[in-house]
Amino acid sequence: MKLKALYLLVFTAIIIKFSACKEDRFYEGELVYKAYCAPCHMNDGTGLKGVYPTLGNTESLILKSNNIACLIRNGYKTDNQIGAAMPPQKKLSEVQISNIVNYVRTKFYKRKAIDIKQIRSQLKDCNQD
Amino acid sequence: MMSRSLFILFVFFLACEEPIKELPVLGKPVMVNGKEEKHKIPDFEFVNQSGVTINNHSLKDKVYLADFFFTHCPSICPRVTKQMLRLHDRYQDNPRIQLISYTLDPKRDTPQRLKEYADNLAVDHNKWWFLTGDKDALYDLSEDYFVVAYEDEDAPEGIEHSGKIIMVDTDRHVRAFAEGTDPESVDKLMKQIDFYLKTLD
Repeated sequence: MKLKALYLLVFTAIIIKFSACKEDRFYEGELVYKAYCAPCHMNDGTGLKGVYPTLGNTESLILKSNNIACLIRNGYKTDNQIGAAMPPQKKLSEVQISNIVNYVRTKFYKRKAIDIKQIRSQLKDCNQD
Repeated sequence: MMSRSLFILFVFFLACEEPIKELPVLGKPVMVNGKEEKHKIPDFEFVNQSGVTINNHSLKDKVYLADFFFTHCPSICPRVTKQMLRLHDRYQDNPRIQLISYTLDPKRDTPQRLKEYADNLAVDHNKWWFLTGDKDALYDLSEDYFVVAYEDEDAPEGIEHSGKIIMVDTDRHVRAFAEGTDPESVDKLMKQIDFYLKTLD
């Protein structure tokens, strides 16, 4: 009986441990997103209507672009830019960019995370300014 | 026992929601001809997004909410503008309320660019004026609104500034302000605006 209780305790501890890991997965992504992206796209991803795009919109650039990591690293500017252009983020590491991409994908688009290898390959093909 | 719990709960809510009793005039009084005068927004004259000249006479009998921003600002402005948008939507049908956003980058923020910006935000051009004009006059005026603004090459897009939203009464006195980056602070400002509007009825 005692052994059964011990097994149960260990099993519960393992479950708690893994569920905590899952929640923490893109924790850095959230922090970096809030520091670098949220000033325009807002903490909740809603942006500023007509000026800064809402994240989570299926028509949004982030899903259309097959090189979102590059977009974050090099920034983005249109000819008829109405607000501030999306600034380049040269100081962010591959891991930080990967965490931002996956935080945005999972939080706002309810999409699956992508592998850091894919991000690395995108950044490798990225035209450096 | 039950009534005691309810009483404690009642006191707790009272403590949370302290009613607004008055809105004092903010700022240091100045001596004019030996007489003390309360701080007032001085005369100004700028142009809005429709190319119309706006001065203090344009604001006669108005309560207005002001902030300082610029359209290329990548730091705090979008958050502040989002809160100004909340105020615009809330007071859209109240003719007493006017919104003003002064640019700190008049060289790039021409009336035409400000019009495009306001068009994109889909706001009422008569309700919310985006003002531009002489750079020194704009920076000098920001001090009267207790807004810190200065040019700094290390700041994003070269301009450092605070994101306050300021409420000015019908006599040009500053009566309340909010941190424009903080929605809860703007919630509080809305209550203060509503309180002041009731005193005008």
